[in-house]
Amino acid sequence: MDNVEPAAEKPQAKRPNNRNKRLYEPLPMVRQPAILPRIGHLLDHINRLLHRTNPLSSYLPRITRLIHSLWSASTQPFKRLFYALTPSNLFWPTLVPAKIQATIHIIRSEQEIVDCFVWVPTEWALLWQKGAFGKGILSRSEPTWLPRFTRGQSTAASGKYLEDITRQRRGERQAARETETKESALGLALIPIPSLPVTLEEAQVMEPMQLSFHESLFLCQLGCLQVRDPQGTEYSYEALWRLFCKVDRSSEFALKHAAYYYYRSKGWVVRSGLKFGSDFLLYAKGPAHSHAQYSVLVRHSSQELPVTDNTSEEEEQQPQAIESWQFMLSLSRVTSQVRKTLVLCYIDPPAATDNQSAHDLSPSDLTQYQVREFVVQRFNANRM
Amino acid sequence: YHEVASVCTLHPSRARALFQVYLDLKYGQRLNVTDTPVLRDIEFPVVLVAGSNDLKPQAFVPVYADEKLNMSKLSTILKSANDIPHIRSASSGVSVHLAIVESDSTIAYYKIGSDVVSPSEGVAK
Repeated sequence: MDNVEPAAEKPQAKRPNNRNKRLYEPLPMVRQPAILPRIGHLLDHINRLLHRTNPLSSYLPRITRLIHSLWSASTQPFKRLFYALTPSNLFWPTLVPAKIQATIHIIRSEQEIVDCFVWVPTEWALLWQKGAFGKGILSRSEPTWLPRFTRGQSTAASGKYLEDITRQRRGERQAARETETKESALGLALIPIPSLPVTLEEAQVMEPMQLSFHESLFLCQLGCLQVRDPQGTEYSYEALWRLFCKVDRSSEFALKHAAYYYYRSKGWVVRSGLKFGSDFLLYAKGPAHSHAQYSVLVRHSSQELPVTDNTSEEEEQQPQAIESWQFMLSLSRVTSQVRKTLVLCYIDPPAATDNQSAHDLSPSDLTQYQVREFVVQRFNANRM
Repeated sequence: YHEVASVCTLHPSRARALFQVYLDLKYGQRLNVTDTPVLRDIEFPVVLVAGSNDLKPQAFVPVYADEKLNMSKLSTILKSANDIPHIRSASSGVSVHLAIVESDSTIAYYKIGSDVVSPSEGVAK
């Protein structure tokens, strides 16, 4: 994706009618997630048909899963043979995937693990093209720091990369303002470096791609990612799960990963929603193709509604909602101003895990989680 | 990493946030990063970026996206930031930038301050 030009505005796709729609749908098995083969194949079409996440299919979940599992098991040897004869990851990354090598860096404090992060140093192009996984540590999304550095860009933006377009637009907005103070924009208040003290050899390895915890787990479960630490020790899916649950500071890692898995398995490209005040952003194809359509806030199902004056005593004894309506409405405002739709995703974990910590959860328990979605949109009666 | 290794070794729980904010500010945003002092009372390493002309340096405090910050911690951050000689302010207010770091290296910057904007300043802006 070398040429990133501002996309022409396209008519917005028709949004699904989510009124009165509550999906009590267990997490689907691995369907054929975001990494889809570019060239269609008869087996893939049949797989999609059997495992389609149409709401009507929820009426026959067990039968469809059984048929899918039998079909997958019977066709697996043929798929593996086919893939073994073809170059790696051209057509079937999800079935017999290429093993992308990733390095996990673990930070310890007095022999206790306190943090970690996952880097993909060289083979990130495939992850980015097939599902928009990961983010360059020196870029906004796709790792583009090296070509920008070697290009020697320091003056006017050429409009070639996403960062150049952003810088150009900001410059135009600043130039159009009539009154400008020195400290109103971060870029004007701080001294930029004219040239970086980096050699060309160092620049080649300056920007790996970093995967989030959810992406690492998801790809590892698919078999697309092989995670090792610098000493060469390989980390399995279960080991990564325990590690990420341990270093997570929010105690909601399992909930958020359940939501991540849910939306990925539906075919959405799921990215971090940090910059918009939410947990996830949902893209149809990826950040390089279009803006995100939905902004997802993930919460435990016990935190559905804020307490009001009419709340009964029993309801008050339940875990209280963290957010007030004021917070929800402000988030809805921010989301609508960036042309996204706010989705509240309530996760209902299995009852057996209520007294367990996140460390004790087994990754297979994810299939027992239930998901409910609500779309929040502001209605302005004056604009009828 | 070697540029911030000493600070990261002393504060391993803040190492990832500090390292990624340092990388982003110096090599991503190409700002003039001058120092990485540590806030005294709260033991938070921060990144100092040189300001232009007569403007004092700006302090960037790396925090984690899944980390819960309460008002007490924010107050301590602002108070400790005022103790840094380079950004000590003669006025009552001090401001720092929170650099909120996600696990995929996404960083969101927010400026927080302890001073109150008077109506005249708000109109001028």
